Amino acid sequence: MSEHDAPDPRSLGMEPEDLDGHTIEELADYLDRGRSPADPSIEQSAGCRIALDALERLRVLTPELLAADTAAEPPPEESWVQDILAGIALDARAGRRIPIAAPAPNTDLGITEGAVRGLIRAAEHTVPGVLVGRCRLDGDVTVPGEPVRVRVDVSVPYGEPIPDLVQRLREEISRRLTAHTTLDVTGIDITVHDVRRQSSPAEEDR
Amino acid sequence: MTRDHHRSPLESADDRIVAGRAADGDTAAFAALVRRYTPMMRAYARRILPGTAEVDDVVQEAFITAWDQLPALDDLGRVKSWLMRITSRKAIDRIRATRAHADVTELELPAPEQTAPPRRAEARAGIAALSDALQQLPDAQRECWVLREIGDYSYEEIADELDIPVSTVRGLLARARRDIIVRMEQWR
Amino acid sequence: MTESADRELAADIEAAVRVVPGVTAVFRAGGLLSKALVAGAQLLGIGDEEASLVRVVRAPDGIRVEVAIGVHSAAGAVATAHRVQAAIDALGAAHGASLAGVHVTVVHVDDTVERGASP
Repeated sequence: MSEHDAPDPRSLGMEPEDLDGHTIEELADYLDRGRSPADPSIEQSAGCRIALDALERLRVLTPELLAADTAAEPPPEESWVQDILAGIALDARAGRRIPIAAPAPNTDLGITEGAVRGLIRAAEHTVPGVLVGRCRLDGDVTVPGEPVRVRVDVSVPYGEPIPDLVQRLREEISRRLTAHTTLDVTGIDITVHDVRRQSSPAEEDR
Repeated sequence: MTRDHHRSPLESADDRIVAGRAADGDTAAFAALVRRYTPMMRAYARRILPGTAEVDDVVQEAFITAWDQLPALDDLGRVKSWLMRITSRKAIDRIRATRAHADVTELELPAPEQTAPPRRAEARAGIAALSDALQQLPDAQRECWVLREIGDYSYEEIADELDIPVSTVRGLLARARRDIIVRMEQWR
Repeated sequence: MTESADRELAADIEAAVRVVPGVTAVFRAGGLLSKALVAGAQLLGIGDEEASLVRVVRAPDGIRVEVAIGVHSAAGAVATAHRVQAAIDALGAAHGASLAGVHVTVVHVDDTVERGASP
């Protein structure tokens, strides 16, 4: 049978007369409901059972389709990745302006939230293997003297004691916040969201 | 610098960390996200769009939108499905733009011969049968099926996305399912 | 003061700020909530290429100066911002202008190692 002919549904029993008055739509909904409560008029119909089996096979295969399609796609060319980077707005995600305490009344000094997040991220360099993810400053940072809590997500390498890594990072973040802001930091909450196994050293050159 | 990324710890860090850094403005982290999810997004867009020509455009647009909206994503752990959603929206936008004056009945005609997607890495007969059956579907049926079964959209969401009534969505999905299983049964 | 004097003041301030210890770069000041770029990205060239990156504004109460800077991590943003403000005040006095407002925003803290004195 040519693939380009529309298949004749009657020859394969998908019309209501083959399904004892039920429609494919009903059977699909019935399957979605987990075949419960059990409907005797469906379960006792041979035609329906055949169609349900086919729908069930389709349901099992479907999640594998995206995985198979994805595996068939090559990794993106680096030039393609750079095209996208060139297209995004390279703003600092500046965020709120955080005042820096200043002596004189005519003076308004500040640092952007984006700059602060960047310097917090850079703290990871003193704790090799640690990666800083999202960083949040909780509290109204635009008000001088307002207490602020810092929340940081991190990824750590597998193998070293986590409390050690976290404490070293916390100390470095605290040191930086003192050097670069006049925020009243009441706490630095570090949450480990990811533990990475070391990747094999195999991929050295391409 | 361009080659270093293969060894960078960022490439193997989990979604929440990478997306969090990107949300905070780290473009290297965003590049890692692009490398990680481009194949999936291309695969998904390819299933929605009727040809292969505009897949890359759609995925690029999706990433540019993702960069803008990432700071507003609360649950960073869901960045993968969030990227899928943006991809299908962009793909449908693209279809809408090129289909501006189509008659609804045109959407019911069987699809013309499709350009083949990349050769399957694994030649499982079932997946191949499903893939071919999908390619044969008329556009509207295929779109509904892909949004529902791969994109995990609800009927209402599909109706919104395609700008058609929910009853039409149900009808299209039923026909799509029927056509697919009929064609797949021919393979058995 | 005339408009050209303002521009001269802006240019002088920009030059002075660049050599303040700890400053890595001067960015375009974009208003009170500056959305300037991080170092490593290109400086935006919006409008007049000749115009200084420093903003000099005539307000009812006098001249207001706005600057956006990057600083070396080792130098500290707090200390550097203070030094920049002092430099601007001094320059204003030298120009015979008492500045009504000096607005300095640090938009980037640079962790790369300084390789030598910057020009």
